[in-house]
Amino acid sequence: MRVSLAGKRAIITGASQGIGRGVFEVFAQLGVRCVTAARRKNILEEHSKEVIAMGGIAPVPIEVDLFEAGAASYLFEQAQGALGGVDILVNAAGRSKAPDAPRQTPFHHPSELWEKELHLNYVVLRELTFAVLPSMQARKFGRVINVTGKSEPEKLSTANPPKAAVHAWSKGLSRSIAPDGVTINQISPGKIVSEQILANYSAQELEAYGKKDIPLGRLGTPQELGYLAAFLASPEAGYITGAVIPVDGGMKRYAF
Amino acid sequence: MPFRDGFGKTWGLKGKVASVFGNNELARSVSEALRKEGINVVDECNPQTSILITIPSDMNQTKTNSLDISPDCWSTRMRDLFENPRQITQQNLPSIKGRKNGRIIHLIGSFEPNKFSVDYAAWGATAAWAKSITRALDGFDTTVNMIQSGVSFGDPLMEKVPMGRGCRVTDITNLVLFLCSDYSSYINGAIIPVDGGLSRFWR
Repeated sequence: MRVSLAGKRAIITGASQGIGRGVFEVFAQLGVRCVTAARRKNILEEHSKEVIAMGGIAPVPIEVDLFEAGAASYLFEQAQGALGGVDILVNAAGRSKAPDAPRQTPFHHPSELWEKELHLNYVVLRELTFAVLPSMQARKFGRVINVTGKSEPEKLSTANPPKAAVHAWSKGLSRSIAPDGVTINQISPGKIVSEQILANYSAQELEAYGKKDIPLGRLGTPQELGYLAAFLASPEAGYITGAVIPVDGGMKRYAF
Repeated sequence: MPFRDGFGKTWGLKGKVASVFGNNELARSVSEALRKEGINVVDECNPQTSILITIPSDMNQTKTNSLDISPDCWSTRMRDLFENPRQITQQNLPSIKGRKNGRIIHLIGSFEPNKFSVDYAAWGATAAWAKSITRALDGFDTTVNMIQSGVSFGDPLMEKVPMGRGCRVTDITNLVLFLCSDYSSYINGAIIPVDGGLSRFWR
């Protein structure tokens, strides 16, 4: 085995579409028992049938709206009950903007809408991480993987500040939990083909962007991100923690 | 489903040719790990090469608290840590560009100074240069990444490693194999620390 994950138990948020869905597909094939969490349970159930038909381990779909108060502890309790414990948490829920928000965040964007994006992209991820951590520390093994975003702010955006908050918060946290064999890492995706990105940009825009701004000349797939998540979750990557690893085809400009 | 069969069981690298440049324990361990996957490892330019790995021979920092460093020391370290990897890459680029799924991996050290050393500038140069060649490899299906290794057992900095131990060779080789494989196809221009959490800033 090069990536030994069989028998491990994971929570994956944002699992109905895009990156979360891709991570789940890879995990299920590696024998990970997953709680797939999202708002649209019907999509989770449909997708789980496909994954099982391909030989993947059956997941436990859980309907949860992360905007609701108490969502993190509810999800953790459900997962704890269904799986008997959680070894891996993949926080893949998140977005670059609300579906009905303008593409360019205006100066007068209302505070409550800023707060909403902060909640989804940082607060709930932090709450869920703190919910799973004690049991991971007690077992001396745990993996937290946060799907964030690029840390190069191209323009005013409601997503950049919370994603940067995750990077800073988890670097500090990584130093406290490393002695217990628990790692926390961030994957910062570039342009990955997903329902979200296809809703935000036209196909022509994406093709032109890929040619102009991405050295590999194309968008990435959710599975390409899923493979890295699986590697980071495995015991084989136990010395990697507090890192922010881009999966962006070379899109970001800054080297360090 | 686009899941590629075999992930987790094999890295799918059999039959590839890798050039590994480096003359130390780590380079030998990396070569051995690649050979175990069925890769043909060579230590010179080869027209079949699709994977290039550079490992500076002496990765230990030339630490000092004095600014009084000889011009010779500056140029030696710049040559070993930056110029050599750069020239080797340049020489191997024609063969890598001609193959599918080219992979270039540079082993580098930390650029967070805990003392004064000429090495920080050299690693910084390597990182900036390696990042920039991803832009020149537009459309060649080739990725360039860096692995930033932590300190090994016995290093004075080891007590500061949050993970509580030094870096093992397998910590590095596991990531090398992942980055060589097709499963890392969208990771490009990244610096990945394998340091047990030692670095203070995030990469």
